[in-house]
Amino acid sequence: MKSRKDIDKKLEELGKLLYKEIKEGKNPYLDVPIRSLSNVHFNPKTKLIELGDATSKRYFFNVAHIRKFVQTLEVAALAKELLNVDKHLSLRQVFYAMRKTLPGTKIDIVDEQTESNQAVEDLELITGASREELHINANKNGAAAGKIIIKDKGDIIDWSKLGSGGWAIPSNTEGIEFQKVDAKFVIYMEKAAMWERLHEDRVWEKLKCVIIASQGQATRGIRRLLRRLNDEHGLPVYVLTDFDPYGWYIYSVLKFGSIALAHISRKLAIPEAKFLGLTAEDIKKYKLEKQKIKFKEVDLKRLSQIKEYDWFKEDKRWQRQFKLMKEMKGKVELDALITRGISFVSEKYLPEKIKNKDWID
Amino acid sequence: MKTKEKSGKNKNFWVGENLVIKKYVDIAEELGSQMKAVSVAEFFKKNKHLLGFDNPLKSMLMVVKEAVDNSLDATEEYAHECEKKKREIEFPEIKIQISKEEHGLVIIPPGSDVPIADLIKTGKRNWDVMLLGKKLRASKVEGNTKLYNVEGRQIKLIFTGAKKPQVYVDNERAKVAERTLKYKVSITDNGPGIVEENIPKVFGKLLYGSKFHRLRQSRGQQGIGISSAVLYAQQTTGIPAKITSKIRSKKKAVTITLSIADNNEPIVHSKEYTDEFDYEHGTKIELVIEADYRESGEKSVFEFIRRTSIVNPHASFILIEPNKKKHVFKRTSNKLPREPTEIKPHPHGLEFGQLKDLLLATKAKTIKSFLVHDLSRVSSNMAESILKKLDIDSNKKPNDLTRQEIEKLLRALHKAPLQRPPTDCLSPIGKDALRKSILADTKAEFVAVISRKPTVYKGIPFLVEAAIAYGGEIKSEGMAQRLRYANKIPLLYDASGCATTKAIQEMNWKQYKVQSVAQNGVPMGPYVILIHLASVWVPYTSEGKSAIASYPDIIKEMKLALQDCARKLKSYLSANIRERIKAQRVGLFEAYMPELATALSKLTNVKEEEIKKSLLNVLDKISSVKSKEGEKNEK
Repeated sequence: MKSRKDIDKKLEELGKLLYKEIKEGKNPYLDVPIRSLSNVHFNPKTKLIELGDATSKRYFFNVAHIRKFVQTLEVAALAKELLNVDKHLSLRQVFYAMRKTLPGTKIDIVDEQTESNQAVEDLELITGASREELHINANKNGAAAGKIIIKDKGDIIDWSKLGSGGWAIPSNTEGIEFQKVDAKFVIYMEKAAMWERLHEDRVWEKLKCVIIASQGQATRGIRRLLRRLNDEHGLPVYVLTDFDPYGWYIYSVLKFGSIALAHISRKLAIPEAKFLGLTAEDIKKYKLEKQKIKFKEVDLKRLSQIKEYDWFKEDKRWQRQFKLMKEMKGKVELDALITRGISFVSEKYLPEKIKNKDWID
Repeated sequence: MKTKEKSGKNKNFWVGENLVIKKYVDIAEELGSQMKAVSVAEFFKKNKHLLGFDNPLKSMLMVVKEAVDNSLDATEEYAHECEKKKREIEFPEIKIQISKEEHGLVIIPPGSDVPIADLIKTGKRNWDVMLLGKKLRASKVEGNTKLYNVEGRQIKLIFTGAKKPQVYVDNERAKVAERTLKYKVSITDNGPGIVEENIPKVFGKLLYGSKFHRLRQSRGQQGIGISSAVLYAQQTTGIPAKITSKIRSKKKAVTITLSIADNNEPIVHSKEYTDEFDYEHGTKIELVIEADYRESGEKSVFEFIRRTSIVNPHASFILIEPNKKKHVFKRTSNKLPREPTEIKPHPHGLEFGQLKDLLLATKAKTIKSFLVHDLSRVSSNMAESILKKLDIDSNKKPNDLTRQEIEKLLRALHKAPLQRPPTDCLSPIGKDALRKSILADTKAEFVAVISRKPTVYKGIPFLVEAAIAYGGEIKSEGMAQRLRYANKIPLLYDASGCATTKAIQEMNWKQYKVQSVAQNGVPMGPYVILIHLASVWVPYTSEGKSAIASYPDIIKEMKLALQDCARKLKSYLSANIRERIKAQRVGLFEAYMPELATALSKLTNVKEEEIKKSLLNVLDKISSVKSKEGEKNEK
């Protein structure tokens, strides 16, 4: 992780470069990497979704560029201020901090949060510093439990002694220090309810693992946390999702990265992540056919999209799952395992799958 | 009545006549010849449409128009008198008030569709019968029954407890119907007023006055005068016209109620003297008519007055609508328009019948004298040579020319190399007055105006004035508003068949930087286009006199006028577009500059003022030399 000083210097350099151009009587511009599908590709070598080299010039003296130009500079100035006082703001708060009206006009610097969010992402690309490094956070979301002791802002926290709620994962996990890690692997699940089930059954104790959940798509904080546990402590990451195109997409983002955040795939994606969710074979094995939820048009569409992703295209095991799902014309949720017993998932499903290495890589 | 029969051929009123005017004289002639068999009222009823009273909406406009014309003529004449006598000019002021007369129910006797009387509510459960605006007294009241005698018929009202009473006429059940709308139109001016003795003649006699017998630019060419409005009121509501007039020398004003009898003679119903009059002198006419009133739109009274005020900048107009809304159209000019003068017919515009009539009516003793004195621009030498060539004795009596001789003479006259007729007979609005007035009306951002030199077509002098107003408070949706005028009278009907419309549509507006043009060739956006044709004789397309005929010479002049205005518009628009885009860009940059300076200052610790200064330098450079980016943006 880059130090606060490094980032601060980067921002200052950006400002100085622009000022130099202005002083020379030039129209100042920012070089912004293009973040669209055309400039994003899957690298089969690294197995990551990566951003290409294409950039676009954003000028100040250009009617079409000026708004975004100033928005980006506003975020930069704000980030510098945050770094100097060592405080953090959420994306929402950044939006409000930027919500000013230009004097004598009806022009607001930002009208909607999407604008300030984009400006933040642009600044990440321009400076190469992540949002977290710029002291800007998203909403926190997610919980963790397991035999791990960490240090966060000077506090020592034992993930195994935090009652029924577990450790609330902050939006920025960059500064967490792992003091003691007594786990063999990590299970990430897309649903908080499933996490509570496993936590109540003390799965993390029985299987010697860490359980982490968010709600839906994993936040950047969680992804970074998972990545660090994988990187720094060699813990395999298992992803537990439904038998459902959307669940698979969550797995896909965790493993390969996403288009929107392609510029930080290297920091967030976990190429070694394994899929431990429901498969077509599990459904047969545990007789969950009757729990099928019939597909809607959108589900089918999503399935056919996922099928075509570069990183799934060549994978026979995944193509088999897609094919079987298409035949089933329906999806099955993990919660359906409840029909087999309240703690079936903790006592039978997970231990068996892990023991048999019954995952998809 | 000045008909041929009555006034005799020695009456010189044919002089200066031409076709359209002749039509009206034909009507008068017909009127005269049929006098015994057909009443004026009946004739009017038959020919209402010829006079413009086609429908309730148009009738309202016609009545207002005739009265306003009358008032404008009178007030202008007075103002000119003031000017001649070097007195302080009293500029025309005309008040138009229109109010809704109570409109209740009418009683229609069985087997008829003509109402016999009005039925009005006079109490919670009480109703009365009214005739010509007067409540009648019941001849007998018995229990729940009331009896009335109306023109020899008995009307019986029976109150049954229902909302309305049952009505019987001569013991037969009668229909009660909604009466069509009645309006009171009242128009007051500060003109000279009319001498008491003349009031009945002016208002109570069709075709009285001299308007139709002169060859000069006049408003009156459009209708047959105020008496037609009086007759229309009389026909539709039966309520007599009420005229109040005050002249300077008299202390009191006189109020006369009158109607027009079947033999086209005025009937005076009452005469009173009053101290009440709005001006020191002037005339007020009140008519109650059956008509329709619209508050807005092309064909509304408001629009008519508004448009009239634009081309009469020396006059003020006050309009009070039925809803009591008051509109004041203030005078914008301190100059009176030139008084149009009369001219003699020019030989190039003569037609056979006209020449024949002129020859019959002339006072000249010889044909040569006729040519020199009764026509314009024919010199003694020219007359001599024409007659010599035709082998006509120059001393021949004008009356004695044979048909062949008249034909020969006409052909020769048409070909004769003559000077154009004098054009000082025309009274244009004038460039400056028109500009001021259209600016005051439209509150436009730009106005181009032209008043073209008079020209002649078929021996008839005419001139075209045009204006294009752009931007400002002009509404930018839809097609340009087109204001059409003939002899300072707004034309509200038949736009599509009008020469003005053709001229507008034949223009290549895109060439003049007008951004969007409707499919029919009319510009779209914040434009007002005005065209005025002034002529001693306006060729209308039809009796309705609401559209100018498309003679190529006239359209050509109109287009030349429009092109002149459009060229000015173009140079304004192109400068304007450039300036505006530049100003917008620069304004946007300037607005963002302080914010950028603050942000950069925070990043670099350079003083904000320093950064701002440098930014301003860049802006100067960029806005003077168009940068590549800049050009891209403009597209």
